[in-house]
Amino acid sequence: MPIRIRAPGRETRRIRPEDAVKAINLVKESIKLFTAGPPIIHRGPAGETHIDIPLIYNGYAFDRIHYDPYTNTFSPKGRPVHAVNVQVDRGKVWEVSKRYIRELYVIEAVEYREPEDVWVVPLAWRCYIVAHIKVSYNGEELVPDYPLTEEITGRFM
Amino acid sequence: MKLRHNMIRFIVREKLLVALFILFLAFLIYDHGIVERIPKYVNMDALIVIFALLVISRSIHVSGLTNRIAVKILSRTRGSPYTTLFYMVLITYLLAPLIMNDGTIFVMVPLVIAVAELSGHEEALLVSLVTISANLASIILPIGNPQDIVIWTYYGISLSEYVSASLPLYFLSLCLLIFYVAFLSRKLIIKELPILPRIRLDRRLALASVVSLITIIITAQLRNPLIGLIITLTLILLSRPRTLLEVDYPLLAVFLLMFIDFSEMPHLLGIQSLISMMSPIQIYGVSLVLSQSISNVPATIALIRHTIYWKPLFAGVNIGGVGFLPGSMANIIALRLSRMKTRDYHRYALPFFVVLALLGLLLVYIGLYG
Repeated sequence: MPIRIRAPGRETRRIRPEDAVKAINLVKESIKLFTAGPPIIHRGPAGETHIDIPLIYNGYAFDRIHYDPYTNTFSPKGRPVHAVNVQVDRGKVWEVSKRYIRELYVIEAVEYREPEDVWVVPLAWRCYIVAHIKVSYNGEELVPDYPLTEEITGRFM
Repeated sequence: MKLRHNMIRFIVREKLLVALFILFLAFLIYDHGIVERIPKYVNMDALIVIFALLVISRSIHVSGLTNRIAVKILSRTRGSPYTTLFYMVLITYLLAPLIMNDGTIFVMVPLVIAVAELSGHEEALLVSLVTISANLASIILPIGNPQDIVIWTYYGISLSEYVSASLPLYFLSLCLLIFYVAFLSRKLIIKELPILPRIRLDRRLALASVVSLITIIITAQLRNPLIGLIITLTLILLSRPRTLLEVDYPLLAVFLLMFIDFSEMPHLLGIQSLISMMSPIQIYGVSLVLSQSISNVPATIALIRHTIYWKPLFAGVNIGGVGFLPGSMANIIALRLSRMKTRDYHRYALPFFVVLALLGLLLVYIGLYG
């Protein structure tokens, strides 16, 4: 049975478990097509380095994965690494990330974000959740992270 | 410290812009009179159309429209290497006249890389074919690439006259590409492609982009592209204002400096009269060689003010965009977006360029581009 939910003062979309399953399957199908975008390297005022790897499909970015330059691995979502006294080789970071992206897998459970009207499907690398992919309410279309896409567009040029 | 770091990053990223600016400074030091000649050198109509198209191509991509078209067409390939390659070329031929050759590269190369990875086809082969296609497909409409916008606006050619002139070269290059695709795909293995996911379509932005595109074509044709630009900016501002922040403004500055620097060059070298005496075949040859060495937009700007033969110039700079890497900005962008090596691009592009250049020469010789 479809679940019907209401926000205070307004009717909201009727969400259905089968759409959530469709969203998960769509991300499972899409995961092979995702590539690692050029690393986004931020340098803080104290000289600390913070690296994010954008997850790309067809020129659109979907989420950023935190990169740990100390261990040269992905860092879990919610734990950006601000590294000090570490040499960062952009090319190497990109190469390593391209390899790790191939190891991503889908966690078979979703959350629903009402304001954006999307399902959010978690992606894991080894034992960490590293990214979220947004899928439209009907589970049929991927929803890009537009500000991130905008951030990386300049970096391609 | 941060400012210095950002400046270094900007210089590294915008090498071409910085080089053109340094060249401009050198011209300025050599002859202050360049400042007075700037208004004469800069083709404002072309610059306005290029700006509008940079906005529109970005908004078409952001709206998800290009992804829809690509996914729809690719879902019909059934894994056949010939069909995959053919459809890649076909999608590019459909997109390039609408979102410009550079815009098409931005849309197609990431998709091509994904398809290459999944199908096991050589990435360099697919990227090279798409890059060649983007350069040649964009010639059918004058809004397809910067050098044609410059030619179209400078000579005041009507849209119908332009299209009828571009058709022979367009179809010749398409036929040659289909033949080339068949030749290159004969050794590739068949592999089933997966279902390609769709991106959520922003209908409002897609509609605004299409309306803007039609508007800029009409207003440019009526020699008033400023109105088209104002309408475009208004529609995009009403649909998704952030798109305007995503436009490649340094690229616009590159075109502005190209207008100044490459118009000044013949003036400094004193070769204006030499160019003006050239026959159509010589214009074709010079534009071809110049495009291959300094890229086709600067070649157009350097030659356009000194020749009345726009057709051989059109053929030369457009064919000259294929071949060696510097021929077109689209080639350089494709190389930056992919893992393709320069020699791999040349391996596929040069044989095609030689045949097309000879056929182009034949078209000029028989008077079709005379």
